[in-house]
Amino acid sequence: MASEKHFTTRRAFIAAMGFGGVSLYGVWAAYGAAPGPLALLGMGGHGDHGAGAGGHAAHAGHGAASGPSVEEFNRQSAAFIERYSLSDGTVHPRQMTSMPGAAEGVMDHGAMDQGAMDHSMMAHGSMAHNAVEQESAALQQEVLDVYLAAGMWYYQPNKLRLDVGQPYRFRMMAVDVSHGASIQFGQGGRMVRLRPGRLTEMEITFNEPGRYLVYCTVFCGAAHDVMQATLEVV
Amino acid sequence: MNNTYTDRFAALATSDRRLLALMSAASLVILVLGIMGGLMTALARGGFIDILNTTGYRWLTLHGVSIFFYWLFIAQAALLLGFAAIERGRGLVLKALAWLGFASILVGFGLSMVGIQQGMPLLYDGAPELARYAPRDLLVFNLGYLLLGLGLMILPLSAIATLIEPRRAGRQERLSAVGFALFTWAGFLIVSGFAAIYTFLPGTLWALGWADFPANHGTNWHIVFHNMHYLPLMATVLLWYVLIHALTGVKSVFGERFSKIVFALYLVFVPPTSLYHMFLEPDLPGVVRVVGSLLSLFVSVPTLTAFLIIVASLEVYARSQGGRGLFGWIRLLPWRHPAMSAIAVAVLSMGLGITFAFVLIQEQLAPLLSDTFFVPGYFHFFTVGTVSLTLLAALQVMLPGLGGRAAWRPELMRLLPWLAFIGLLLFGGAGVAAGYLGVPRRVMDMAYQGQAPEMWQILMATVAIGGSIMALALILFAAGVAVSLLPRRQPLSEQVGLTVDWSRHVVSPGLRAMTGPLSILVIVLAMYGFTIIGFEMMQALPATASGGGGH
Repeated sequence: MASEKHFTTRRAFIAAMGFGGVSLYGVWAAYGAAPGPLALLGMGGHGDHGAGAGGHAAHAGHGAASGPSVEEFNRQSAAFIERYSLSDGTVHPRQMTSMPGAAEGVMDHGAMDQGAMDHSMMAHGSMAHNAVEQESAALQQEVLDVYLAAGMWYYQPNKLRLDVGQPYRFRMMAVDVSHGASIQFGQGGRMVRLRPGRLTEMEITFNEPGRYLVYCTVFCGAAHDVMQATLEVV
Repeated sequence: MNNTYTDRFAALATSDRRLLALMSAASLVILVLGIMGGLMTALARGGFIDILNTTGYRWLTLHGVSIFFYWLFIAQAALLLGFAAIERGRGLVLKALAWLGFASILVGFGLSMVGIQQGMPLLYDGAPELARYAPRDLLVFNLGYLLLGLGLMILPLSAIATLIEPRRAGRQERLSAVGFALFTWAGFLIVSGFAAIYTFLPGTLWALGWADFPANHGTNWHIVFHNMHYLPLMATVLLWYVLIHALTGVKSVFGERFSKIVFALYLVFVPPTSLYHMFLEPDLPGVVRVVGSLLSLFVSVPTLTAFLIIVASLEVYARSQGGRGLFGWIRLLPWRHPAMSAIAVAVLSMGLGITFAFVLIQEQLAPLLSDTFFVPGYFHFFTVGTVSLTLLAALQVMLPGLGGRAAWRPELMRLLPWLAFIGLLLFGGAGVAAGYLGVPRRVMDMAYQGQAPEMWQILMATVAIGGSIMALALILFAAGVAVSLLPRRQPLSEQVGLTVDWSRHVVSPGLRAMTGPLSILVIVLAMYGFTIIGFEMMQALPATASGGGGH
């Protein structure tokens, strides 16, 4: 029988093992979800740890700039819906280009509606089509604003049509009490909390077409369960 | 050794025993009430009963308020006073404060129950904005919490006075490790009481028309919530420490000073780690999120270290008794005592709870998991499996001494924690899986008019089945514990043979204690695995997103 303590019964070993959970930091750093060890020590390395989880950058605040009031946001939101509404009530934010001869600034419903454009109308291979496609590709690089108001117990708009590959900036606000918004992709989702009167922004690009449920994630009263919207990505 | 503890409780003055018995009985009744609320909620979500959504939210509020606030804290208060009284050996000091505090908590509970029944269910966090047009509802609801907070600030003073009296009287040079931990525990309860008042007073003043609307309630709530649900873990590991001594006679082989340091670590590591509850808040700056994640890595340090102390001490004592093999020593533990089963389930649940908690502390996984059913899925491992079963185990040891009646049907009782664990595994396993898939929490009907994946309902039905098993086992266990409070006296000698006494044996030097470190290894590997699942799911989402910050 040994006369000395086994190392597993020494205080230093027990104390060190108690810090076992801290080692999870290695996994975080490997996924880019935490600053690397060198960056932590201020010895270089990339300080940009926001790209973790496959491009899901850290959801840092967007500065301290003051956002719109609830009334102002409601006006912006209403204008957004009016501008991009389709005949079936779906709201389809999209780049709009003026029809030839259309007066500048009259973009609304007189404009060429890219989303509603029936691609079959265009003969493939035609020069006109190529020109439009190039213009369209260039326009699609621009981030489009999408307004989403959350109130008891609705989202406005509650049906959005969005385009694959088009970057969007969701501008969201809870207009009465706290709400949330989770976009469900079937296997996992992406959520934000929305506080009353505070503008919350999230940039998102959809990579695959689909019909996605949006639901409220913060208990907001009796009809919380039915607070939902639909994103149709085409 | 259990006899020793039982004898020490039995030797307390009648007035002390009456107070402790009343507090224990109140806590058990409230526990059963809270379990019923949870059961109804789970059955409604699982589609097994059809109730109005508002009724479901009322059940959920009853569940959260009863369990999280009143059961956990009244039971803690009763055990704190009880163990402080026997630590001193001469009963409680400043007993009037203990009675006053208990009365305040009981009145608070009554008001909370009234508050739950009227108006919009506010869930257990009592968000003032939901009562914006019915401030009277909030007033009654909040007054309950304020009286609870007041009681938690008053009652532990009796425990503190009891613990320091021997030193003041010159009969004790310094506090024992248990005495020190009890002292710290009392301090935590006072801080929890203050925090509750700090959080709910602004809403109360607004409801009375004496102050502006409490816009910061959410932030205050998150800080209080974090501390109120992690600090009972300190009470839990302290009770493991005490109960293991009661059941086996084993004390720490690392010395009392080391144990004191570890208990004190809760003060160092728990309060600064509350940020992870706020990762989805739009106003939280990015740097705070990163720092919050890094700080949260340390939240498990005191719990894991205390766990290692206890397991290593038990293992070397058991090996000195002839325990062989890597895990063969475990067979020597006093499994006939129901408290031993409860502690074992508590330890296993703690491992699972910490594993999943560490998935949530990564700020970049918050948009995937934070407000989903992942949260109740993981925290039931803590609240039910770890903390509640430990509190019940401690009551199982304390109550026979108070009531004078031997523990009821130990051969049946020792199976019930394992039955509860089976239910918990179903509940927590399905709940965590549901969270990864995006099933929301705090929703009664998650069909969303047919838009939700069918798998959601299957998982919630599994949660309901697991919850029902867990509820049944816990109610039976609580009832069995409460039997010891019934007046009919039986000889306590019936309890002899339920425990072992290794206290007189010298531990052989050189014995290894591998079980604790291996357990930590398993827990850490599980943390890696479930965190990686989260990252991989985030990467696989058919969208690339950033932001969520607010202006």
